Order: sequence, then structure tokens, then C-alpha cells
Amino acid sequence: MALLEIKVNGREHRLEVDPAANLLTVLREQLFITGPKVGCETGDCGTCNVIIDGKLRRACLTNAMTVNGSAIITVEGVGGKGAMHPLQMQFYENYASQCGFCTPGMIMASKALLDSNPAPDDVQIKEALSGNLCRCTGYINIIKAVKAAAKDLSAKGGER
Amino acid sequence: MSELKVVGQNKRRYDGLGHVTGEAVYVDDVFVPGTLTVKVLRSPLHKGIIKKLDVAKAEQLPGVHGVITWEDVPCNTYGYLTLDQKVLAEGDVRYKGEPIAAVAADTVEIANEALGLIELELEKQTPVFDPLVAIKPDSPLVRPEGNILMVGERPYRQVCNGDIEKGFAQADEIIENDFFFPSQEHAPLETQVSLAVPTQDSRLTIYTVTQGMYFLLKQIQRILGQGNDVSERWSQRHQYAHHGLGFSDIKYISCNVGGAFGGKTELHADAITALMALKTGKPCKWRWTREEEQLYSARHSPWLMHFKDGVTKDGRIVARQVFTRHDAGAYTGLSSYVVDKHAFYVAGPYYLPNVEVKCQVVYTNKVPTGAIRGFGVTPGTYACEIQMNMIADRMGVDPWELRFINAMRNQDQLATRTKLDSVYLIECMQKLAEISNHPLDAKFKAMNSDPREA
Amino acid sequence: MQNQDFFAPADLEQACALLADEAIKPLAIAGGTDVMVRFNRHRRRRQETLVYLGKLGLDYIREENGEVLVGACAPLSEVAASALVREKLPLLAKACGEMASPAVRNAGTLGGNVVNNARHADGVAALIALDAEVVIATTRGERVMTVADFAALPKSETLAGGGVVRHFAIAPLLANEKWAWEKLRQRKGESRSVVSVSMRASIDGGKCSVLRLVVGCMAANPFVSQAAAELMTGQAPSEELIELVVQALLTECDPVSDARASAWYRQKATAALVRRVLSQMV
Repeated sequence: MALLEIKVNGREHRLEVDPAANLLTVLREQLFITGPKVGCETGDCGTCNVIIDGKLRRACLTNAMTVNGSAIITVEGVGGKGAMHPLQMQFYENYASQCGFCTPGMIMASKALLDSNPAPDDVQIKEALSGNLCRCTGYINIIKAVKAAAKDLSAKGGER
Repeated sequence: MSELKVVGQNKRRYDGLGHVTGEAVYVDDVFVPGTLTVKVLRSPLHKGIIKKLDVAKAEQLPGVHGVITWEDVPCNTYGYLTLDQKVLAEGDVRYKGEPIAAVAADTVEIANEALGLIELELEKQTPVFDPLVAIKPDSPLVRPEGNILMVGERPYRQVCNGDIEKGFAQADEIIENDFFFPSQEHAPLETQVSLAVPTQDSRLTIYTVTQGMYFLLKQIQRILGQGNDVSERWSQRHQYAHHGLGFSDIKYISCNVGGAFGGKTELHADAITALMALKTGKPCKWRWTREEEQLYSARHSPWLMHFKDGVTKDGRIVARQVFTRHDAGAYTGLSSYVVDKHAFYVAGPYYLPNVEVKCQVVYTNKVPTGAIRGFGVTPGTYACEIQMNMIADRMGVDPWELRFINAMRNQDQLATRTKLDSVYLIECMQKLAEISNHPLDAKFKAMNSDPREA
Repeated sequence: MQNQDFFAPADLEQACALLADEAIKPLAIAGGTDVMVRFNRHRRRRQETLVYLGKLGLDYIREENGEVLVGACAPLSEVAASALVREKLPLLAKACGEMASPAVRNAGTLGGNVVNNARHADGVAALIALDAEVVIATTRGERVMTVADFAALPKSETLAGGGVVRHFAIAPLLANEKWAWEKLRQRKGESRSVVSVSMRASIDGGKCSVLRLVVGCMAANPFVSQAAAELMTGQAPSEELIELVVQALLTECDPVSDARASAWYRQKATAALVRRVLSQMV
């Protein structure tokens, strides 16, 4: 066992983990943070997306101990009841989810995009989401939602 | 008249907020203290006889709470309409990936190790994969009853009207084509998952991904050893170890489903987690890996359709003959149902005075097939409509006009001899031509769906 | 709390010593995008001791003595975005930018790509096209070899002595060099290469003075086409000559059929990509 110290959605955690464990398992099964999903465990589907020290990463391919000391954000940390992020509101308003399973991962990838590029065009949005699969929506409403959120954020005057 | 509050309004998904906040609960998001991880040993062969199955070493591995084989299943045979599928393989295996034994352990690592300790010996047999080979008399048998599902005396479902040979005799041209609609895997982002929790009074709670709760609840109840309802067995249950579960003893909870598209109508995981929960007395969760989902979950079957149409010079289809082969895989599942559905509709929404449809279920040593959107009708529509275009091509008739000429009208019969009384295909096509700016000849603009003269 | 199964050395010597110690069953991990796929697929109680390379400071990208040094642990996304790489080694920037997907590129490294040395490895192909050298730290001192040699030799040899890849040393593209990186894949995102073709070429007075054409996924490792070099050097590029090159190059290939493409298709695709790449010179 190894000692892992991480900050998740602003909260510090100290826990014992299997040194071989991936971050997705630690988040879900030890911290019960279930926004990031298990979709493939090969890094192909994007449902496990999280942001680690400001960078979009696959939680399923991240060995937990290699991010010892890091700050991690999951969809729960992007926003929630009473404090929704524009991305969340626009996904909701634009019917950008059907079964919802890809949605947390899509929102994380979109957040990572908007954090570095506040006014992306369609090509840039598609590239940013090129690591996210959706089996339900056909992606169009998701792209719409990201564009709308970008507008919201610039109207608000920048970063949130 | 007060303003409509819902109809005609843009309403957001009631579960949309849960999706975007991560609060939506899928089966794998449900955590119950003490839950064991279930793993299943699957057949490595496409077809074989089980010569040896010894789980003792697996059972003894520290951290393992229970191992089951077919002998531990109160009623091992199940199915939708045909009771032929096994919860756990009994005597033989009929497809690669067929479940043989199940393990429940403290961790997934221990469960995997336990699978490796199960002693399995299979005698390899020759499988058959191609339905066109499976129908031959010398083909390896997928099941002892034969590789074709009999419908009464016939090796196919037959639906017919009129006299097909007379119809062909009246035709000026015969147009025959083969259509192949390949297999598809649903590939939902969420794999099959199930969590079964034993609760007080010998009851069971199962968290499920199924699209059809009542479809499966009945099957699970049967598998677990059908019992009488709670009110009759209350005191008995506490005295005896296992009396079977009545319908009301199983609390079946559907969580948010992460995509299904028809792929979560089969009994994939719920029976096995239920059995493990009852065996170990602990909550048991089984989450299929992506590999298991892609390889071993029910997929949409491939369809092979043969159309033979007799057409007159002026573009009327006077005879339509369809022969369809549907590859069920190793077990029947929903196949008997879907070929009926297909047979009723494959000839299309057209006036066919002479029509004969034969639809055959063929067994092969592959994963049993199941539903996907438009189950049975989509492959038929695909074939039918392309056949229509090929007829138009051959006869030198415009494809729109061909459809107007042959369109069903009110009081016409389907191949099943059901009279339809509100068809309006003609009006739909007229509207379609209008909004797509497709020019229509005046005589087609003037058509309607009024019953045709006798 | 001393953890015996996971080390994150800050010192290269210590890292090499750990990786050379067979008794602890050491396994190097950087971004984890290869190791964790294996771990996830076969969830077993692990015997290995993980040696994390991320604290060794091997993520630099800098220029030194006229060469560009790309640290083995620099994430692919940083290599692709680096102003220095885009200016001096645009072929490498393009290749890295087209691998996997944004999230995976934020973790995956060139070092990992080269050490893993999969048949379809784009990093290996691009580095071979650039005639890059790999510098490896070991318990017995530094080892330097071409990436082409590294890919061809067994790891028991190349990484002997607890080898840790430090960086890749690459001479920048010349001002008048033409270059290309073409990767055929099934989708734009997260698609392993079906075939890759990359090229560096110099034209002098209308004639091809240097041609380095590298084909990936058509043999055990990406290879430099001898046929292309022989046929084109000293010649004026033309459509007819390019056709000769294509036919000769195909005889150097040894494609396999796999889930992504059949050998037959790979041959067709290679021919098309080589034509496309070489046509730049006409």
C-alpha cells in the first residue's frame, strides 16, 4: 500500500492506495466521486476525463501515485446546485445529453478547452472533443453547447 | 382556451441536470458497504463438451466468498419465448464467451485470480459460423433439435396472400436480388452492470441497466426458483434456507442507463449477481469490461434477404416473394419474435396482390443475437427500398412514381391479410415532394388513399 | 510511511539503480498511457515495483550546441505546442500533435512511445525520419544510439543497466528542406496509424540531393527506404520516377493484417501516401 495525498475539487484527501491503482478507481471506489465514469479503461472513450493540475487527463490511465500531491477537478467540482457553470447550463439548455454517460467527460474536455481558448471555432471545439465518444447525440448539440458557454463566459468577462 | 403549458413548449430533459452535474446515478455508481466483485469464467471455445469443471481451488483462495456453476442454479434454463438458454453452461458450450462459472471475491484482483484457479477441460468440437453452412444437412449441430427453428411443420415463418406463381406468370419482368444487413454491436458507453443486494426477510434488491424490467424480472424469478408470493411464505422463509423468490421478493431498481439501443434487453448480468448474492449473503456487483461488452453482449444479428419480384411493364409489382435468413447465434433469445415482426412488414407498404414471405431462424455458434433499434423492421426496410429503386432502374420508371403506382391505400391488405384503414402513404409522399421541391406529375398529385376499386 | 511498491526518484542515478535491481521487479512508468492499459486489462495483484520517472526533470525542450533536445518525459502535447519544435522540427510537432487525443497527449511521452516500440508507433517513425539520437542514462554511464538502432535492438541490450531514456537529440531541419508527415488513420482522433509516411528532402538545382523517406506500420519497425534514396538521389523528381520509387518501396515492406487494415489495403495506402508526399518535390 502507498500513501496518496491529493486535492479533489478543492478538498484535501489522505488515503492508502494500491500502488498499481488507477486514479479512476481511487476516485470512484475510495472517495465515492462518481462523476468520472468507467467506459473502456483503455483511454479511448473519454468518460473518465478529469483535470489534473490544470491539464485534461484520463483518470483510467493515470496511476494514482504518479499524481501524488496534485490538484484534481472532476465534473462535481466544475459546478453544481446553486452554482452551475455555463458549460453545465448550456449542455442542459441545448439537449447536449441523452443517456448522460459521456456528459461529465465532455464537460471536462470542454472546460479544459475554454480555460485555454475562450473563443474557439468549430474546428477547435471538434479537436478538443476528439477524444470523447458519444453514442447517443450525434455531437451537434454538444458543439452548440460549448459555443454558447464560450459566449456566456466572455459576456461574464472571463474566467470562472 | 388557456395557453398550453407542456404541449408545443421546449421542455428540458428532467434528468438533464443530473447528467451535467455528475449527480445522475448509474448502476456502477451505487455503492453498498461490503460489496463483492463478481467475475465470470467464459468459454474459450466456440463449441465443446465440458469434460471437467472443478472449482474447489478457486473456492479456497482467501478472499473468495463463493463460486457457482450450473449446479448451483435452481432453474438453469431460461429464455424469452423458447426456454433454451443456460445461465451457466451445462454439459456443453455453444459460443465463445458463454458463461461457465461465476466467482465473488473481496477485490477484482482476487476474483480474476480465482478464475485462473478453476479447472476447466473442454473437448473441442467443430463449430459452424455461417448460416448458409448451418442450414446444410451435414453441418455441425449447434443444438440437438437442429440448426433451424421450426414454426409448426415449417422451417420458417410463412406469411402469404394471393397466389405467388400466378403472380409471377402475369409479370413482364422478374427482378431478383440479395441483400445483406450486417451485424452491429450497440457499444453503449456504459457496459452491462448489475448489483444485487440481499436484504431482510430473504429478499433481494437488484440494481439493473435493463431496458425491459418486466421482461427480465419474470426470467430472474424463474431462474432463482419460482416461489409463491410473500404473504403465503412469510414464516416459512425464516425457517428454511431457500424457498425460491416470489415476484414481490425482488426489488428491481432501474438506474440511469448509459446507452442501450436494444442491447440491454437480454439477461446479461442480473441473474448471476442475484445468484451470487444469495449464495454469499453479501451484495455482489458485476461490471462487464469493455472487452466483454464488445465481444460477448448480444449484438444485432446479420440478415440475409432475397427478394424476387414480378413487375409489369407499367411498373406494377404483381408478385413479391421474400426469403429471409436471420442468424440467431447459439440460442433463440428474441429471434423467434423478431422474424415474425420482420415477416409481417418486410414486403413494404405496397399493394401486393400476390405475396409470399418466408423468414427463417438459423442457429450458429456465435453470441446470441438480440434487439437493436427498429428490431427486425430496419433490415427489411433497407432491403425493400433498395429493391424498389432497383426495380425502378430496370423498368425505366422514376423511383418516386414507382412508389406512387404501388402504394398501399386504405382497405388494402398487408401480407398478413390485415386490412389497413388509415394508410395515407400517398399523401405523405405528396407532402414530401412538396417540401423537397421534387416535381411530381399531375396524376400523382391528384392521387389519394381512397380505397381502390375492386 | 515507506512504500516499497512505488518510487518517485528525483535523482537519475537512483532511478537507474532501482531499474537495475531485478530483485524488486522494477517497472518504469512515465505518463502511464501504455502501462496502465496493460494493468487495467489484467487486474491482478501486482508483483512489480513501480518506478515513476516524472520527478526526474526530464521534460525539458531546449536547444543545445545546434541540436534540439526533447526530454523523454515531455508530454506529447508540449512537444507539439513548443515554439522551438514547431520552428526547428515541424515534422515532429505535427506527428506528436496527431497522436491519440488531447487528454492522452497530456500524459503520453516520446520516451514512452519509443520504449514501448509498438509496430504503429508514430513517435518512433517521426524520430527515425529526423535521424534522431536517443541518450540513455544507465548505471554504467550514458549510452547513445540512433532511434532506428534502438527500435531494432532488444531492450535487454538497449536498456541494460537500469536504462532510463533522458532525451532525444535532433538536428533541426535545414532552411531549404522539404518535409512531410502523413498518417493514414480511420478517424481524426484517437486513431492508431494504419500507415505513416514521413520525409525529409533537399532539392539542389532542380535535382534531389538528399531524400530520407520513412514508412511506418509496414514492417516490424518504421524503416528508411533505401530504394527511395537510391532511385531519387541526384535525379530530377518526376511523376514517372515517383512511380518507380513506389513500386520499389513496396518490395521493402512487410505489412500485416490486423484490426485496423488488411495487408493488401496497407500496400495500396502506402503507395498513395508515398505518391502524395513525393509529389511535393515535383
